[in-house]
Amino acid sequence: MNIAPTIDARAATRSGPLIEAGGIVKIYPTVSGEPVLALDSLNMAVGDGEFVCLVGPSGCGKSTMLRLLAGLDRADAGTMSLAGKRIDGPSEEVGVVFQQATLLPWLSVWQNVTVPLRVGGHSIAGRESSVRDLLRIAGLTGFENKYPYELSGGMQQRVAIVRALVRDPKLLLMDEPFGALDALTREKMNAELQRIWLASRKTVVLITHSIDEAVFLGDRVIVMSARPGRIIRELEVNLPRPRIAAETFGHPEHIRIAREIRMLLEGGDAP
Amino acid sequence: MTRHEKNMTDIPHEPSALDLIASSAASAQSRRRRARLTNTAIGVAGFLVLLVVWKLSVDVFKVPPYILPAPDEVFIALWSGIAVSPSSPLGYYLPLWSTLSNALMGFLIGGCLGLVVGSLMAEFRPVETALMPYAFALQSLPKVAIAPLIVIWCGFGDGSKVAMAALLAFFPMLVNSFAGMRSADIERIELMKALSATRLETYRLVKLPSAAPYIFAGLDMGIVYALLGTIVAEFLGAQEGMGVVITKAQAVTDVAGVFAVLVILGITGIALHLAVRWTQRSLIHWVDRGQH
Repeated sequence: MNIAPTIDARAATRSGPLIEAGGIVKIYPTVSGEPVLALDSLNMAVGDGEFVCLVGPSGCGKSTMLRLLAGLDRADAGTMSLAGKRIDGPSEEVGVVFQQATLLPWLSVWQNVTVPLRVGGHSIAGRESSVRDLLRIAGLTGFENKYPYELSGGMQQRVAIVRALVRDPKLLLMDEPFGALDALTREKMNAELQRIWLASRKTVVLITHSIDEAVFLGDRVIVMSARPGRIIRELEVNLPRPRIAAETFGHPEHIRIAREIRMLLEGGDAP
Repeated sequence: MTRHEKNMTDIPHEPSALDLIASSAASAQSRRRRARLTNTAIGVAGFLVLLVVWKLSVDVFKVPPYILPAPDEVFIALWSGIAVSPSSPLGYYLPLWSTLSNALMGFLIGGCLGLVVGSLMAEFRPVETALMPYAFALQSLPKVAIAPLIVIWCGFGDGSKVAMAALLAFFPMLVNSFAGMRSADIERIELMKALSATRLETYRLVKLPSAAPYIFAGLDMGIVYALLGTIVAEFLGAQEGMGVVITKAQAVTDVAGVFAVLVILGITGIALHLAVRWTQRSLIHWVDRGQH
């Protein structure tokens, strides 16, 4: 093909990047008056159906990046697009999972997961069965009428994941979704998330400060530097799926990548 | 074999963990019940001691009944107002109904207005900036002092009673709903933003339920204030109501009669407060439970 690909052609290719971000700059004003440069000319691309993990030290701007992708904040410079369309506000093509499950305690599980279908001009009509499917995949069948305070932390976060998926978005953004859970529950949730992802094949951008979690889940791990946030390296994870914690964590490839990330984050030069 | 079985039935079996849990839950429940019973007993005993001390001091110090009537005289006055036909003009039923219906009507109007204005102030900064000074000024004004004005504007009928009740119920509702809306969790509001929810949807699904405990605290205060407002307006001039019963009794120095009305009003206040609390408990089930 010697014709330059048009936007339409690119959008039509399933393997083309779903997210393209170029030259992203984000500056935050602070109380002391000194503005903080959170992100500095950051470039990033995420392919359709890819599972990308962002790791970095606290305050490296990874959450800022996620807020920009979710359309909750505006970048001060640079361009960002989702499926060829500029991101200029919250989009129904994006589902977000926060660090806290952020459920509405006055609503039952069913009411919570269907909130996205009852606001923003959406309608629940005809969607009940797909919501039930998602609840089943997440292992929440039978808990529809429970209230959030009757569920464990892990189950609450699963409810939040289902809620992020009910609009059938192209992209799932997750901001340290399991950071508030204990280590064992967290490992279980990672396996659950992988299972849900394999079943739904969404594009996922997951932010984490756990290197093991990033390597276990990601097709690709993006390592960010401390403030101002920049990408210092991108690592492909070529481990077979479905990955199983007991096998993957001991796999030489996992150990090699985790070690490289650790060295990068410790400031030493990776080999 | 048979002996073994026999032994099994003879010897009480080792308590399993489940049994322990069940028995500890049962003992916790009976402990709670006993504690409740003890509290009730203390309350009743304290009340009886109060009555005895009251009766004795009236007798011993020979307090004239137009200063402080003995408890039995109050009881007689109380009984004479209760043990009559509900339609009798001498009973408490008609005036209590008048006072109660005016107070509740005022509570409803004042409460709703307080909720609406409080919500608007929480939702729109310009409304807050414009109204906050007046809210503060009126809040610090002794509102009972406005009562004569209200009577001039609304007359001696039910209007002035309802208006006074509404005025007094309005402020706690305004302040509480405003504070409650502002207390809404920022992450939940952010979630609604990410879902492109409209302002009204965010209000209905997040802010109003978040404010519910505050709103009920306001209702609790408001209902008692509404009763107070109605009585004050009745003092200034009315054809019926408990305030009128008090002024009539006072005119003939029937102090026992005044006390009897106060008892009725006290019980009414407690009943209204309990009604609000009961509604709150059955409506707000999610508060005070571990939540994320």
